[in-house]
Amino acid sequence: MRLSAALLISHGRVQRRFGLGPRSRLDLLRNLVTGLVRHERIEAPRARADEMRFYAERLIDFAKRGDTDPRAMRMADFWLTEKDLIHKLFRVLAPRFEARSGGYTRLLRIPNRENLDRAPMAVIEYKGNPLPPLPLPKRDSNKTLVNQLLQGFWRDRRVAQKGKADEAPGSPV
Amino acid sequence: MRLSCQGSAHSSTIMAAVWKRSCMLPGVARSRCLSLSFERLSSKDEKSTKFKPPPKPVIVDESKLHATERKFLSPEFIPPRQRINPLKFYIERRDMVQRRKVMNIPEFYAGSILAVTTADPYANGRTSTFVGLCVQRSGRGLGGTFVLRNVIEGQGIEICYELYNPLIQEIKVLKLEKRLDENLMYLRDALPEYSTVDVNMKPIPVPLNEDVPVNKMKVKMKPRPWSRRWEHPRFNIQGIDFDLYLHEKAKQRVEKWKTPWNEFDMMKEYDTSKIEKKIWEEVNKELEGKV
Amino acid sequence: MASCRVARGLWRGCSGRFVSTAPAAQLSTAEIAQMRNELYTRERERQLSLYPRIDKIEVKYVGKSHPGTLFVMNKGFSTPYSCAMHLSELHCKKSVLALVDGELWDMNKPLTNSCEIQFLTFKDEDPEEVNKAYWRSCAMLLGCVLEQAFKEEYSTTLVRAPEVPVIAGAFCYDVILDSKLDDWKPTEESLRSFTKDIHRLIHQDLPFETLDVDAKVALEILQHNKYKRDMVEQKASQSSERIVKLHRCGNFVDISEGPHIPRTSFCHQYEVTAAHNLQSSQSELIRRFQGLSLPVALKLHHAVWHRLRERSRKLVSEDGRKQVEDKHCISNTESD
Repeated sequence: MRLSAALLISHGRVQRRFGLGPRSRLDLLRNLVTGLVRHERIEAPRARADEMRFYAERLIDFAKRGDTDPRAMRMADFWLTEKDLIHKLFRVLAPRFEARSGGYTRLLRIPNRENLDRAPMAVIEYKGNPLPPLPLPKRDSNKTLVNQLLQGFWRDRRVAQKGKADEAPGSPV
Repeated sequence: MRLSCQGSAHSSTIMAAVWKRSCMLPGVARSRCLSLSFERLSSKDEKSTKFKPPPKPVIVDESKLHATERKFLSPEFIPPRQRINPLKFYIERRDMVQRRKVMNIPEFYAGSILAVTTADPYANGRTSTFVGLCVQRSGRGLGGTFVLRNVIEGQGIEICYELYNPLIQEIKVLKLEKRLDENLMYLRDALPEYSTVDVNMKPIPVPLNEDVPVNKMKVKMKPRPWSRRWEHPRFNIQGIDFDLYLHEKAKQRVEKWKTPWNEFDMMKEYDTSKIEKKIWEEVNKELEGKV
Repeated sequence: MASCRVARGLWRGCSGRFVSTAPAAQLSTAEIAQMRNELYTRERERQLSLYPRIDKIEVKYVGKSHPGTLFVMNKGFSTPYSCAMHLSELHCKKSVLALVDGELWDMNKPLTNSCEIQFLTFKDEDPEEVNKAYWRSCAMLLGCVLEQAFKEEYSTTLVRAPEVPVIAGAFCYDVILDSKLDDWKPTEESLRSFTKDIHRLIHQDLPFETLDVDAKVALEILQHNKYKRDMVEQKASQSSERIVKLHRCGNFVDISEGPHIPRTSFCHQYEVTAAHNLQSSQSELIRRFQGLSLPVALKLHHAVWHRLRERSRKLVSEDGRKQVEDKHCISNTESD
């Protein structure tokens, strides 16, 4: 399992191997990315979804450069096998994520595939899509024991810093 | 300093020749030698005349002379893409800045012509100067190196200098230019005139605030086989016109080696622009603080 | 039942004698604890014998996980914990308190009527009551250990466990130590030994039991402690039937403000962090022992835990920060 892109690079274990080689791997991911851009939420084997996630996010980064940028256009042309989606990428998705920097997708584990291979599956989606929301895992509320303790801790620290700031101008006198 | 000679000629005699020449160079009279001679003079005259303080050396800040508007960050400042703790690079960077405060390391690229003066660890007070074409810059952090290449009396010579080696006393750019490639190691297999540099060359002034000129020269190679298959797409060499040297079968092989999809693998590219900007600000702040 | 009563009478006689001759000075702490424990056991057996026949009650579960479940339980025997056992192991492990007809109920307290039941956990939307119960139980453990930790010749008197809000950062127990120990300052080592004792209790996985008793019985059980007696009186005056809730963990019986967690094994990280001397008008020196603990369900990274532990060394008080500021004022005036 990968932790982050920075950790990937070390030790040569850069990426998962799919398909019949590097070329085939990219082709496979390309089809998945195209599907994601078209439907905004797709189901895929967990490893593929996870691998494709990086590309789907970087594609948005490129799309944000605008359709006048030749490199962004080349990228979009390569990654979207269905060419009508290029328009959607630049006109719909790029403006949607204008305010964000990174974290455009959401990956959720779902039960293993039912048919013969029982592969672990995942759902990947672009955030802010018009589909009904996924049942997301809940965060602990602010009133749990630990969160209360931490809140008290931060409150104390703020007070202490304020006290220091108040004292500081008086000290040189 | 690593030194490599090519061919089976007597390298020691050649090196001696280089040293003799470099010491004769008019522009290479070093301040350190001068100061030594002053001391000797004063000690002799002490009995007869009163002590005369030696004339104060005029310090000219060369970095200010060649102050440019170009933002140039030496490539060894940029950390490689890996898992090493960034603190390591930060500490090294501080040491590098300390060295740069003492010695001016100018902006140069592969393809520039440099004159490097080094102290000779085995001869007290002696220095040697080598003039050559920079063919490669490599190494990261304090271990950054560059390779100078020249052909002297028919013998190709390459010296690999460590940028932050304290033995190096001066690095002077005689001609600032870029080539089409970042690594010119293929000059080993090129005709010798492409890597021959005049040892007594005068520095060519560079326009201060313009872009560095790019020399779009295509190099003529010796007949194959070469030390490496420079036609391989891995090297991505623009400075050779391969059509002149490859036959049909070899060209087909090159076609087979190509991986055009790598261009689109976004995870493989290492975007250093942000890091570069941050480090440039950090280093420049330190360097401008120097007196 | 008759024999029970006779025994109680005997005990009462004994205790009366003790009270009349000298207040508990002769009895060692361990003996007092044992006596309290026996009295408690007797009272519990008496209360159990009130239900000689097994009657059935209907308990309706109102929760999200199994809507509309109906348990048929034994009146006076079955506890909310036995209801949770019918649901799932997860319910047994997670439930800290039960809400019986809107009233907070210990997991180990028998149900007496047909009712609606709901379980509260640490990760609820609003777990305030659960947090309070956890803090209370941790304080009780602290009191239990403090009472038994000192040698025979030093008497320890537990005063009370103030209800400190969780956000203050620590729970506490007020104790009066022997007057011979007035100069003694607890070192890091001694705090650590308290912590170790508490961890032993946690490891034993003792249940917290609850009993509704009459004020008279409670006074009898807690007769050796002036402060506890006052507290029983105060509690009894609040309820119309003069009924007081007593809690027992292991062989330590105490009276406290509300319900407790089911077992000691719910605690995961536990540390006694500080002991402060409180300014008080009385001649006796009241010490406030403070601690910090986290349940199994909410573990923390050790770095964060250390931060919180450092914070919990500061003196806490019931009304949050007010008293701390007062104390600062006092110290300032003293220094002037």
